[in-house]
Amino acid sequence: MSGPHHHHDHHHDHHHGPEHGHGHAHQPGAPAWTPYGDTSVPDTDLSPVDLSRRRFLQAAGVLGLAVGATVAGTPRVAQAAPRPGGGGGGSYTWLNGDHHIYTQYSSDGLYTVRQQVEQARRNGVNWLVITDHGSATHARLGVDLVNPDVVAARRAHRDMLVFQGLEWNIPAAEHGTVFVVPNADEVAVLREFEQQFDGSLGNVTEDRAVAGIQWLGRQMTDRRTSNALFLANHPARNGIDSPHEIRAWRDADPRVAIGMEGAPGHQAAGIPAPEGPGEARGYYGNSRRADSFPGYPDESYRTFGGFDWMTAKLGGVWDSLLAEGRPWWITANSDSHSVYRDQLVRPTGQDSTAYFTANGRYGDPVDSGVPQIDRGDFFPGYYSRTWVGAGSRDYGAVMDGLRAGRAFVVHGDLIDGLEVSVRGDGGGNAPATLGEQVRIGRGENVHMQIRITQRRQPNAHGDVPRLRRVDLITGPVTGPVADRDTQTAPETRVAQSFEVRGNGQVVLNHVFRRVDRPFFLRLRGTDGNFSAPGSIEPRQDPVGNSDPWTDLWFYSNPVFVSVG
Amino acid sequence: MADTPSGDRWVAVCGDTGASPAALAEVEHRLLDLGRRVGATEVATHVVRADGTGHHAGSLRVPAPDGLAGALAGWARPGESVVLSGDDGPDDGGGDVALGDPAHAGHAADVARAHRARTSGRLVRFPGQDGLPDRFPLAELTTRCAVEAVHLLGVADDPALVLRTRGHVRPEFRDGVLVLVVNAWDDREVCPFEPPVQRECCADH
Repeated sequence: MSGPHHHHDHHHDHHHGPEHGHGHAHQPGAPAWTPYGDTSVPDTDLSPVDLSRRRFLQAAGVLGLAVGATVAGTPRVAQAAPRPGGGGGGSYTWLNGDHHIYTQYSSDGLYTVRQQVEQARRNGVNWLVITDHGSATHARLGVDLVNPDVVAARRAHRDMLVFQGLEWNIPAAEHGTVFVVPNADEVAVLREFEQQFDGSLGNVTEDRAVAGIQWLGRQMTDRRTSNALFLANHPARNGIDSPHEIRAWRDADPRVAIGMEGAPGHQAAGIPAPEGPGEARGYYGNSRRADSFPGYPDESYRTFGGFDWMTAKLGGVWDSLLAEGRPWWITANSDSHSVYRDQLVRPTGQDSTAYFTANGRYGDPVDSGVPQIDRGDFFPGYYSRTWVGAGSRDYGAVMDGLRAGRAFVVHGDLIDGLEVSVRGDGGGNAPATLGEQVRIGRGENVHMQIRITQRRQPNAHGDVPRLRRVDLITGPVTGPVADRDTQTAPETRVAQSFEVRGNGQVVLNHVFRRVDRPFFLRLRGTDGNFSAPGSIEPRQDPVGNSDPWTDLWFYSNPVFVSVG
Repeated sequence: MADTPSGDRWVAVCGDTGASPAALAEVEHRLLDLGRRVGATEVATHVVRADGTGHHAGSLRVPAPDGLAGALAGWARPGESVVLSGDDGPDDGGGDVALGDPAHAGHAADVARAHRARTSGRLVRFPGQDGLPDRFPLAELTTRCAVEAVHLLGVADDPALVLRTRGHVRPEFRDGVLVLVVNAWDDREVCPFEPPVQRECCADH
């Protein structure tokens, strides 16, 4: 695997600064301006991502009617290996979203569903999952009460895909998102799941987590829902998602258990005091507990460039799963409970635990008139996005895209688009994109091409982020491990680092020569501001001062190459 | 390995505490109280791994055993085992005195031995702890208190590093050495890896 070459293909003039880097007239520094929403900008001037956003908006009127028709799809076949290549990444609609969002129906929540959806929409989010915490109160009241609000949000915003889900207290482990496709049974399935399997309701053993995932799979098989997914959230935060549990979840039903947060939410928590909370980024400031997996090192309890150690650690937990050839995908979300500098607070008299327990919710928030600077969250889409390549613009297609691993994750809008194509030079099989597997003949060269759409508009912080470097990471696929607690893949390497200059479309190429064993590849990119001492690896985030806007990364899901 | 003055005793307690941070806080509270009464120089907590999950145990190092037996009489709660280990007993625990519920006596004896051998234990009290300022040069840590080594986590070594204690220093025995793990707090500033408060985000339901 050697012999790389690459070039940059910039379609825009390099000699101008970023504020002049494109040809459209607009107000510099006005973050609300979006080229895809501006009808004076012709389709041909839009990036592929913006074009897909425009098409999404254009289709919006149809979307609401189509929902009922798309949920009755056939149950998906169990997927134990990556899907074969589908011909490259160019034919999908890329939709960004967030599967980890709270409302007033959580004991630690605040906002109405409508507020979260409207904030998400303002930030350009296409799909989102409302995931209030599982609890006795939620199982009794909230899981039902939130649904009319979710349905109303779907009706009010036909251009948004609003899922109802649950933040599952995984028995004997961390939290995780569970969500289903909207249909007549969505609340019943979620309620029954929570009542039977939530960790707050007496389910405290690892086998209950496996049973819960299998139960969700049976609801698909029995056609109560055509689509159910589970993703592990903030997996390394307290060291309680052991490697063997993660493998067990995946094996319990690979249609349902598909991945984990590559980056946790709460990314504002590291903004230093007195301007911000001054806590650890992602609230990853804890140390080992009695119930933590003893094999995890101290560093695993911190974030690295905002990302969870399982994902950020080169040759770490995630790579050890990929090295088995095990499809396991990453996402990035807001974990939005209460937002940094937002002024809304719970209303007096409807803000107590007693009120919540009696009513299943807090009252609608009221404006305090004071920015709340001790909060560590952002609204959905403000900082974190999970971009999914969807086959069409509907609920089932987003879930299918996530399940296929056709996704990449971005902080601070470091990039707006990523298309990856991997093919053998024999040309015998269709190219593969993110989440897929391409089969090649032994000894063939393997060509990888990456197309990156750089951000040209200010992000939510008012900056035009600059991608400085892209790392191509590879490791051999060596098959199932005997030790289910394996957490390293020592042969994982940065095969090539690409320096990125300019702010136009970036095209990067790499050739793996005379490949004779299966491998995976994945990508990460950075604004290049911070790295670990003496290394290009991401920096362990300082506990009291981690400005999230100055340390931006994207990560892609992997592509697998099989041989013979 | 530090010297073991003749006459030191180790007291260990283990019970069915569960694994929660609240359980740890309760163990610390009881041990600190007992430690004050018997003049302990070191108060430590330990994680005991049994039955697939962990629970907490604690230990004290007591230099003056006078009155120790009296302080321990009746101290154990139902379900707790207390082991008193002398510095002259055989290392297999044969010289230990076990009090309370025998169910956890084996764990308690293990914990006492581990503290004595400095192979495990997280110290919540140790010599020099009370005199540590909130901020001082990290290089001075080992001269100011019983901590013998610093482990830098994700931070490049730099003689100018400043330690911000946040009022919470909890070193650990690792392979016979009392080590404080620190990570970055800010530029050129580090803080102990263990935070003053373990954040129980989204856990109170």
